[in-house]
Formats: sequence, C-alpha cells, structure tokens
Amino acid sequence: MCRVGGGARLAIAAAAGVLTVCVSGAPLYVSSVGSESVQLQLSQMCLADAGLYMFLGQAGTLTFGGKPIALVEEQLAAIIAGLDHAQPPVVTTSTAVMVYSPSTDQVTGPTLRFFHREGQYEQLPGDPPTLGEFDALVPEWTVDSFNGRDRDFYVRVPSETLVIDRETGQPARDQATWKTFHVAGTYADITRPEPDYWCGMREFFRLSNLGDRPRPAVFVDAVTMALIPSDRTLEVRPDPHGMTLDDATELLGGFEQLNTRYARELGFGDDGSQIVSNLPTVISRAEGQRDLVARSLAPVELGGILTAAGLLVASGVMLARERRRDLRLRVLRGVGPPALAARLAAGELLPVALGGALGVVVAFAGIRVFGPTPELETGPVRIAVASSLLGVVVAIALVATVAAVATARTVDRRPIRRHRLVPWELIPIGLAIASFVRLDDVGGVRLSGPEARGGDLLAQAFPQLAVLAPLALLARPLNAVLRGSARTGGRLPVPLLLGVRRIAHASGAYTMLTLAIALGVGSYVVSNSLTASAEQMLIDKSETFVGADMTVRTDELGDLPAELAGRATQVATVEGQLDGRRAELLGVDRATFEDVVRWRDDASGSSLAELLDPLSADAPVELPNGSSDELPTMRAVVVGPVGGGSEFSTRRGPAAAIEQVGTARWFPGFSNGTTLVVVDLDVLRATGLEVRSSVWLRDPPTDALAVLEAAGFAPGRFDTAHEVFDVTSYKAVGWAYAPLSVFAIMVGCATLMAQLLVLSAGRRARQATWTLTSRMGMRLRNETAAVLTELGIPLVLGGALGLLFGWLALRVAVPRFDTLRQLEPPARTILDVDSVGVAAGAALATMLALAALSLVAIARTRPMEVMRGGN
Amino acid sequence: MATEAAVARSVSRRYPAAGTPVVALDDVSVVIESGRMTVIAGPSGSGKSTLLGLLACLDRPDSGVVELDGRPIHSASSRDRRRIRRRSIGIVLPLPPDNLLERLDAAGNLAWAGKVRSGARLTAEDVHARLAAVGLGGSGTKRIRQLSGGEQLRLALACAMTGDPPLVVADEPTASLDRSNAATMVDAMRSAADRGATLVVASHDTHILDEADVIVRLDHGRRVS
Repeated sequence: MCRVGGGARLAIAAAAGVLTVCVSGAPLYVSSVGSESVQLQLSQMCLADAGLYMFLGQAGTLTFGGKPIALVEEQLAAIIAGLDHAQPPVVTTSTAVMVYSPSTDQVTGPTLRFFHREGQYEQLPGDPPTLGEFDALVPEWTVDSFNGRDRDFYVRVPSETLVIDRETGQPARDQATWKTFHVAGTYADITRPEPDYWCGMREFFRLSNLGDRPRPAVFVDAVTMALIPSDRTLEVRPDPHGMTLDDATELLGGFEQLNTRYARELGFGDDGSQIVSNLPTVISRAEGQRDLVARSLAPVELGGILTAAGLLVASGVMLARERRRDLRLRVLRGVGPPALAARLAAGELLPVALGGALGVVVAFAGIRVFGPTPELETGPVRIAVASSLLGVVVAIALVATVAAVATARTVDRRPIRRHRLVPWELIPIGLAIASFVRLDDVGGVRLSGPEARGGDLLAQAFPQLAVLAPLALLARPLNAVLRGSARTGGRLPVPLLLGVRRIAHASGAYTMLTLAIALGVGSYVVSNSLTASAEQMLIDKSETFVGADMTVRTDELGDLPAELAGRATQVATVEGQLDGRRAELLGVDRATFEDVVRWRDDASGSSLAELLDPLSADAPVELPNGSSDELPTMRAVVVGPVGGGSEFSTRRGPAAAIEQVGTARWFPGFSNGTTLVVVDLDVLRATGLEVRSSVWLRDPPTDALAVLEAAGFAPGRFDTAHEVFDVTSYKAVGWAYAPLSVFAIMVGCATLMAQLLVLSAGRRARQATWTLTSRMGMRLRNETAAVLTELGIPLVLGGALGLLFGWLALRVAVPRFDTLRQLEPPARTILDVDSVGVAAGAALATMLALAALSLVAIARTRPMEVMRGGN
Repeated sequence: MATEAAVARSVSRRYPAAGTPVVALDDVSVVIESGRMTVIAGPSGSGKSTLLGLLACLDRPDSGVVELDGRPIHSASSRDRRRIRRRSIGIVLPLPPDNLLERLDAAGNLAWAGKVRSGARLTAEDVHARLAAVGLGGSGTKRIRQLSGGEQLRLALACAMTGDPPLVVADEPTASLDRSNAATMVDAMRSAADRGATLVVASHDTHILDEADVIVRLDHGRRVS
C-alpha cells in the first residue's frame, strides 16, 4: 500500500509559509516604513520643532480666561503627562530689558533678554558658575561690545550691570524696580554646533538670516527671574523612542486638542496658532513614503503570492501523486471532487496551519529584526493576522482542490482538444513591454523632496518582469537543449555523463529549476543594485548641485587653515549672463580643487585635470590697456547651454571675453538652467570683478565653521550635500527596493523546495540504480560527482542567466527610475557586488546541502528492499 | 430470457500518442446480459481493459454508444457518471492493494464501500455475511497488510458487490495471483454470478474462460468473436 510520504506535506507547509510571509509581511513592512520614517525624521531634526509651544503669559498674572497662570500651567502639565510619546514639558521664562548706565544716568543699549530655562546649567558649554541671586551669565561676544561703549559701566568680568525693566519705560533711578546685577561669567556660543537642548530656542541665540546678532541673552537663576515680570512659555517635545506613525498622529491629535482647549483661555483664538510644530509635515512625509513603498511593494507582493500559489499547486499535484491509490479508489467508486477536496482539506489542515503560522512568525520576526524599525502599529498587525488566516484558508482550499481535481482527471477524463492560440511566453513578454512603456512614461518612485510620489504598479513591476520575460522566452529552447543533451557528452567521464543524463531525463523539471534559480538570483541582484544605484544617484546629484560635501559662504578669500589641508578649496563666483543666457563664473583653485570635489569620468571626455590644465595662469589674463571697450579674456570650461558668442556680462555690463577650452556635461556646482563657466581663480581675481567667495570642503570636520572662523574667515550660509535631500530619501529608496530581495529569497526558498521535491520524487529510482551500479563498480565518490553535476549545472546556468538578465534589466531600469532628471548628473547603474557574492554563496551552499541529502539517501539504500520493489 | 445489463454499440477509442494515435478499440459492439459472467478475452493490447473502462464509466468512447440498464451513459455529464459509478457499478482492479484503503481493516473497507454505495452503514451481520461469502468469514478485523493478495482481491470483490450493483467489472483479477489463489477468486466470481450478479471480467486466464457464461474475444481493438 502507498504510504503518505512527508514530501508533499513539507512542500504544502512551505508553500503556506511563503504565502503568509507575503500577505502578513507586506502590511507589517509598510507599517514599519511609516514608523521608521517618523523616527528618522525626528532624529534628524530639532525635537522642539516637532513639538508644541504654548505661550502662557506673564508669570503671576491671570490668563485671558481669568485663571492664574500657575494653575493653568499645572493643568497643562497634568494633561501632557497623559499623552503617549510626549516628553515632560519644559518652561522657559524670558523678558527683554534695557541697560542703565549710572555714569551717564541714561538708559542705553544694547537691550538684553533675561532668560531662564529649566535645566539650563547642565546644558551650557564649558563650566559656567552656578548663579546666585542677581548673578548673570552673558554671551562671550558681548564682552567687547560693552567694553567699547562704556568702560565704567561694563564689562570687565566680574563686573556689575545696572538694568531697568523695559516695561516701565522710565530711567532706572526713578523706579523702584531697577536692580543691580553681577556678571558672574560668560558663556560660549551654543549654536555651533547646536545642541539638542537649545535647538528650540534658536531665535534667542542664532544669527539672523542677514547675519545680525540677536539680542544678548543673559542667564539668571529662577529666583532672580521670579522678581522680574517675565513671559512663560511651555515647550513639549515628542519622545521618538519606539514611536510609530500612529503614535505620531495620535500625539499630534493630542497637541491639537490641547491647543483647542486652551486657545481661548490663553487668548490665542481657535485657529491653532499655538502649534509651531513640524509634526504635521513629519507625519505627512512619512505617510507619503509609506504609501509609496506600499505601491512599490504591490508587484513584489503579487509576485510572492503567485510564487506561493505555484508552489501550492505543485504541492497539490504531489499530494495527489503520493496518495494516488487512496484517492483514485475513492474517485473510481464515485466520490466527487468536492467531497474529495473536503476530505483532503481536513487532512492537510495541520501542515498548512503550521506552515502558515511559521510564515507569520517569520514575517513578524523578519520585520522586527531586519525591517526599517521593530515598532509595528496595531492596525497593520491585525491586518497581517487576518490576511494570514485568510491565506491559510485559501492555501488549504487550493491544495485540496488541486489534488482532488488532479486525481479526478485520471478517471473518466473527457477528451479535450486543445487549441492554444497564444504561447504562454507572450504573457510575461507582453507585460514586460507594457511595464517598460509605463516606466518610461511615468518614471520610478520619488522619495526625495517635500512630497513622495510615483509608485505606479505596472512601472514598479518592470525589474521583475524584465528578468522574468527573457527567462520565459528561454524556457522552450533551454528544455530542448537539456533534453538533447542525452545524445551528447559521450566522451565525458562516466560520473559527469550520468549527471548530464539525469538532467536530460527530467529536462522539464530541470528547466524550471534553472529558470527559477535565474529569477531568484536576478531579482536579488536587481534589488540590491537598484538600491545602490538610487542612493548613488542622490549622492551624485547632491554633490554636483552643492559642489562638494559642504560649501561655506565666506566674506572674502583668504588663507585656508592648515587643519583643512587636503580637504578644502576656495572658489569665487560671479553671476551674470553668457551670450544672453543665465550663467555663473566659477573660479577654482586648481591646486586644491581636485582634492575636494568628486569627479565622475562620464562627465566629460577628459579627466578633471585635463579640463583644468588649460585654464592655467601661465596664460595670463589679457587686461584691457586703458581702453574701456576692451574686455579681459579668460580661458574657461563651459558647462551647460552655450550660445554662439563668448561674452560674459554682469549687471554692470560686459565683463569678460570667454575662450572656451573645454566642456563637460556637468561639473561640481553646476545646476541645470545656468551655464557654468569654470575659470582659474587667480585669473578671475585678476579681472577685478566683484566676486562672492566660498570654501568647499570634503569630509568636513564637525567644527569646520569654528576652524574657518579661527582662521579669520567670517563663515556665512553653508550647505551640505547630505542635506540637499533629507536623510529619509536615502533610506526610503532602500525601503522601496528591499522587498524585491525578499521576493528573491522567497523564490530561492521555493526553488529549493522544488529541487527537494525533484530529488524526493526520484529517490526510489536512484536507490534502485545505485543498487545495481554499486555492484558494477560505481563508487560513492563517482555518485557524488554525478550528483554535483546534476545539481551544479542548473545552479551555475541559472545563476549566470539571472546575473545577465538582472544586469540588463538594471541598465534599462536605472535611468528610467531617475525621477530627478532635471538635476545632473544622470543616474548610473551600480552593480552591487556584495549581492552577487551572497547569491553565489547561497547557490553553492544550496547545491552542497542538496547533494549531501541526495547522497545520504543513496547511502542508506537497503538493497533487499529495493529488489523487492519496496522501500 | 436474460435482459441486457449493459450494451456497447460501435464504440471506438483512440489514445493520443506522438505520431499516429493508438487505436485501442475500433467499432466494437457487445451486449452484457444480466446475471451472467461475461469474459472479455484477448491478448495484451487487444483493448480488453479499454472496453471494460467504457462499460464501467471510467472512460468515454470517441464514437459509439454505451448503455447501462437501457440508459445511455457515454454522453452523461461527469456528475451523472460519478453517480452511476457510485450506485450501479462495482469495480475490481488488477493489483490487490489498489482496491482497498490501507488504514481500514477488512470489515471497515466493506463498511466504507457500503456507505459510499448507499449512504447507509452496513450492519455487523451484513458485513460478516458478505465476508463469509468470499471466504473471509474470520478476517474482518485483519488489517489489509495482514491479508494475502488473493484475500485482498476477494475482499475487493466483496466491496465491489456491496449494495448489489447492476454491473460488476473486474480487470485481470487473477493476474497477480498464484494458481491456488486464482482458483479461489474464480470460484468467488462464479458464485456471485450464480447468485444473480452481472460480472464483466477482462482476462486471458483459462480458468476464468472456463467458468464464463459468455466470452467476447478482442484482437487489435476489434471484436473477433
């Protein structure tokens, strides 16, 4: 009698697992993406900017609603304590005052801001003294300022200041409120770098956009502050630790409710003006990225479900084969497919349920360990569980139905005349073409900038389809080649010949295995390479746009500090027009420029050195000889649109004649729409044109601005390449493409399972063959060579095909996935060598494991059992 | 006068094959009379099993007519043909294990066959009587593996005859048995026919031919006598 083997049940469990991994993993992954986006954004920003500010009013007074400020403050603190993911509120007290000079008996500037914030002493740089009553800490930069104004009045430390409350508007001596303050010390600049604690207070400390100093903030202790009429502000920051997107949305809702509830009380109306928070932006961006990744995930999920469905169908067929005696007898006796399926479903419930449960566990664990963040939202978890239950039901129904129908078709089969009008290969090929057209039209996903967009299902499916379609086209020829190999290889050593013959004997199965391996390898390599290419694209574009890793506007050109040698260069720019087009002169220091910028060889037919060399100062600028209509001539590399002429002009009129000695498609500092005219810095300076100077840095140290300042530069506005696109953009491209590698892993698992099934199905025949051949002189090492040949050919061939078609798919896909085509340089294809290594390693390990399993089965052959037809 | 239990008129059956299709039956007609043991004889590949399959609703002819109890069954729906197999046809396959459920004992197999046939459970007495009729009176609790090949085939015959279907077909029922077991099986079939069962047996076993009421000879898919 036929015993029900474990092969089909194992395959059923594995297929159910793959299915539940797909259906439960997708919502969990998408949820994880949204939450990680929130956490990542919050980690990159000042948390105070994503929190809540509430202006409470002047200490000791009543609110607009007539309640004491202290009472409202207590109520707010109690409510905020009940908000999840909200840090305890911090109160800041401040007031603006003016300085009184006793020597002149006048109230003079500068006005000061008295300031106290909870926990401030621990958060000041250096080692500031603890303040007592009427002690003050003043900014370092104010010391000279006060000295210059009135030596008697201020500033030698320690010293005394006399102040008067601005509220009175009267000379201090006429008022009883004036106080004498003792300057107990100074504090250093707390904005470079800006610590987290102070980031929400930047308007009190940071230079304005025009470079103006703020009103000096003078630190006093809480007791002193209480003696001065001052404003109290409540700051509530989100606590990003373990925060999900749902949590962030809930917190924002809590802020809004709080604001609505207290707006009238605190006199700010109902329009929510108290919230000066970026939290809605954070949430909106996270939602956009989450939705976009969900759309990117859809074709992968669909592919995974189809893979699982294929494996379930194969498992069903294998189940029917393993239980053919039992099932066929029932069919012969008139049991119909529905009753048969119901019986099978009951019997296979356990493996499906176990496999499905394992799949859910793998999905949960996988997302928590390898996903963007382990924090998962409740809703998606519920969806994942519900989807998995549905998946288990579908899996049971599918396996049972396939097995029942497969058995029923062996009996009383109505003759079917097949008229296949369309070869099946045309389906993936047609889909791949449609996908390409769609991708070419709409592009890929855009995860940078304020809004994530894209993620068209058909367009996003292109990488998979681009690998799948040529493989489908290869199916028949490959099958023919493998089948035909039975007639070749006569000169091969016997073990190798045996391996080849086994492949030829089951050419259909080995064709599918080879193609499945190719699909898995191709998808894995494509996934990782797409991520690498997209990240590199953002890096290239941001560096080209900014010019280097960091650019700092300076007041004038100078001598670069030795600490920045090898990673800093100076440039000067002049805005104007070249032949009527917007253009910018870029003067570069050829001695240091190459060390700082990153150059892509495809930017020009020449190397950077070859491009810059003709700009040499050896060819001095031809200055006009007293004639006003004669222009200096400069050799230049011109990047971007160029007209017919060569005259550069500024707002003041024609400025220089340009002699073009080279060109490039893009150049550091180039932005589309503006022609970049690269000239030698010394030559540019010699023209006497009014320039704007900058220092460009590569791998800048964290104290780069301070170093420049110490070297005599006045650093102004600065840009960094990594801030052109926010950090989530880089991560999000990985989030969008990573599921493709999960798909590849699932295809790999399915392939492994299929390979096990093929080996399992042929086990008895192999044992019978071994029983005979071992007595004819075949050794186990020969059988090992045969098995390795049998397994190695599909693995090597499939791996090579996957790599080839993956690379071709990448070459076509990467430029089209570039959604920032308006920014140079264009995307380039990066083959992720590590993923190739991982795929090769996995393939080798798989081959060895399968070979070991096969050889163990052969070594355990019981010849007598085989001879009796049993085993 | 015997009535017609089943009739095949001008039936033909071809099987697809690479190149030319294999002609298994070519314009064969046969009448199966009730209460008789009809043996379809012929060499291997003559079409015996194919004809048996057409009569037992296990296959459909490419052309021709097959009737059971006067009703055409060749054109019936799959659902109806399953019902006909369930209610009206008993089947015995050549290999003993193919006829029985391994996980049930002998009585259990008989009870299951009865349940499938009529939807009702057989009584213990009925099971015992039917086992006794094929010489397995004391073997009701034996597992299938504990029965010999001959015993398994006799149990299969008992299962096929459960519910007294109008037609019982047996394909090469003695092919896998030794001489003694084959004789016992033939006796069991003869006895069943004598009790009024209609049997159609495909075989070239001379023992069976000796016991046959009617012999239909086939050769290369055509009826020769």
